Amino acid sequence: MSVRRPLDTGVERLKGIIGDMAAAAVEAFRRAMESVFTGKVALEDVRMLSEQLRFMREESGQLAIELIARFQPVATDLRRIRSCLQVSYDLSRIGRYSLDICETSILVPVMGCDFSKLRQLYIIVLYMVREVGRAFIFEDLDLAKKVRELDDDVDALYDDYLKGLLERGQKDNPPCLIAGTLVLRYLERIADHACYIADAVSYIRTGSLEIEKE
Amino acid sequence: MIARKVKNKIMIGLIGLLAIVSAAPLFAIIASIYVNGARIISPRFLVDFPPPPLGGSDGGIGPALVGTLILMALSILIGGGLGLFTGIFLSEYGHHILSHYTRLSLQIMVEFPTVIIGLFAYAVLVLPLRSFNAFAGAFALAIVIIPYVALQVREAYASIPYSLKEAAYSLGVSPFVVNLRILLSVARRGVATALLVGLARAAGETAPLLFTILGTTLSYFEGLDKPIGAVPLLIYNFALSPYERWHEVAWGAAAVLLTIILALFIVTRSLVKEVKL
Amino acid sequence: MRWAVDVRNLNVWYGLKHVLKNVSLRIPRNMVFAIMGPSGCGKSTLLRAMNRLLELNPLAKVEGEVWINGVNIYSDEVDPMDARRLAGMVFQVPNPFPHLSIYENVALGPKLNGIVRSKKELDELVEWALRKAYLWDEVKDELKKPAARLSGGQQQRLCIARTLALKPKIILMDEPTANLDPVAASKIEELMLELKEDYTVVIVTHNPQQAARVSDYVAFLYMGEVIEVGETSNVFTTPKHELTEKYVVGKMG
Repeated sequence: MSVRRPLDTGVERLKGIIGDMAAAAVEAFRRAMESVFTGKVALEDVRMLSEQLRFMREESGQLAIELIARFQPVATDLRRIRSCLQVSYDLSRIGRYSLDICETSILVPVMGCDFSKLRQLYIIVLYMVREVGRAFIFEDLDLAKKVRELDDDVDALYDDYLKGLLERGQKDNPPCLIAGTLVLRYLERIADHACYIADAVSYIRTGSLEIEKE
Repeated sequence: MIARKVKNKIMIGLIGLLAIVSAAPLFAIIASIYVNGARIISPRFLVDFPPPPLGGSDGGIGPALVGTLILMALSILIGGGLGLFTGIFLSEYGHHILSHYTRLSLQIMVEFPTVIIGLFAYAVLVLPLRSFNAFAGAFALAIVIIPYVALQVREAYASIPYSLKEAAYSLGVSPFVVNLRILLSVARRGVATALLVGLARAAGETAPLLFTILGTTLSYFEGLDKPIGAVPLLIYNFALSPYERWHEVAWGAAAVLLTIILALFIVTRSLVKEVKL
Repeated sequence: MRWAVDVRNLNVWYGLKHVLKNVSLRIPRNMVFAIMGPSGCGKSTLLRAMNRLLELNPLAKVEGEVWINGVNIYSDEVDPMDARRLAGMVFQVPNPFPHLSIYENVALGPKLNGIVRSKKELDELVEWALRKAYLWDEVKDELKKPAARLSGGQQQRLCIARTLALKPKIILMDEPTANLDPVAASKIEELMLELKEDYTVVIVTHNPQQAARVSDYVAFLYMGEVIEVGETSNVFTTPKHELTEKYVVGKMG
């Protein structure tokens, strides 16, 4: 029998906002990368999503503080609320980076660039962002661990692509080089934030930020 | 609606009436004794030897009064003291097996006919000494007092909240100090009332005195091993006599006895204030 | 003597009922140590084992050791009365002696124990104790007033002064604010934080929030067993035992 406490309603609402943020972040990221690959720019959409994320971050922050003041949560409740605060920041950053990616694709002419390696990286990062959002909502520690492990792959591809850029440097046209480097950077940062979200899942479940690597 | 109100008023009236009827004997007794006895009381009455059967207006209940006072003092000392300690034991060590049986015995003894207690004192103290004596009287009275005082004191102590007892013990003092210095003070109203009623019984019980003290009217005090007088006994003897003068003295003695008891009652109740918890 | 109180393998029965099961606890000096748990878990019993007040209950049977300041208070050489002077107690329902004045309430213990040698010393002791309990300013002009006329919060502070007057090493508090209004309760909680400078305070509480507010260390007791002990900040952010978690978040009974 589960006791329904006054705090529970508030926490559900908070998690709901985070869930919405996760969906919005994935969408913003997807559309931004589409702009890069297809040249069909969705700047307005991405900007709107980023704004929404900013707004929801404010909202979730307020709600978290209110819950702490009113209900004096402890133990898992406390860790959960603290994590929501943290994760809302991470998700809003992902939104911000998505907007940056989109703007890059406008400022820099990207027609005709060979972004195949970039696409590989993108697929992994998109998976990470999608899955970690789910891991957080369902507090799924195993899923969070899997996402964490993908960070190694991200690092490897990052190094590889960077090396590739340096080698090809002379042969590629400068705009592709610039765009590629910038987007690479943003992808790497987005992956980092996905990892922070995975760490938050561990914090809620075990109290420790370190996910044990198996 | 109106019928219910009327019924209510009738019932209240009826109950009030019954209450007055119950209390009436007390007031009737007090009234009749003072009406008949008050006129004969004077300072000399309290001190003088009893008049001869056909005597004049002199005379009083001196020896009997002194005897009663001595018996009261002695019996409350013995009976009250023992009763107090027993009562405390029954309350604070009530789980002890001895406690259960003692309490049971005392509850039976409270109902005992006091004339039997008098007979017991006769057998134990009068026969061996071969004379009626004051000590036997005090002894009998003490036995009458003990059960009542013990049970009342037990009630008084048992109604002290456990929390106060814990507070007293947590001062780090012995059970002796806790019970006799701290808790006694808390329970003082109940204990004083118990002792008071005990004292009043010592003053007024007649049956235990019948076989023990003889009821001398010849001297104030000859010693504990000799007979002594007492007011209730005097009333008994004088009232049964055929002499008019002695009947007057008996009424006067009754008024004096009643006054003593009422005075004790009022004084104790006003001096020992209720401890508000 | 690193520990103020060292409870070793304490077992207590009320008749046949096993109320405390092999309880071991170590309470460090000069801090507020809370014992929390749901009703009936045995916390009040545990507290009363620390000053041998448990023995007043004829059904209670105690096995084990309780070491206070390096002495096992259950050893044969130790008088229960000494144990009660070492560890003074404040109770859930404020219980000043109603037949005594404010002054006499505080003075009774020292007088009966022969702690002071003159009336002047006694006066000073009473004033000191009342000051320490933050009651002096409120009652200094009416020390002869009967204690029963004080408010609940003042009565509780008077009881604390009464305990302090005996100069104990440990102050045991059995749900001291449970019967007080919130303002009075918070005054007592502030007082606890002051007292820990000079004494070790052990408080039993049925309210985990109170334990979180006032204590440095906390023990969680459940059905007579110690489930978890630790620094309050750790126990309340990351409890190790799932029963503890259930209790502190309010999902237990």
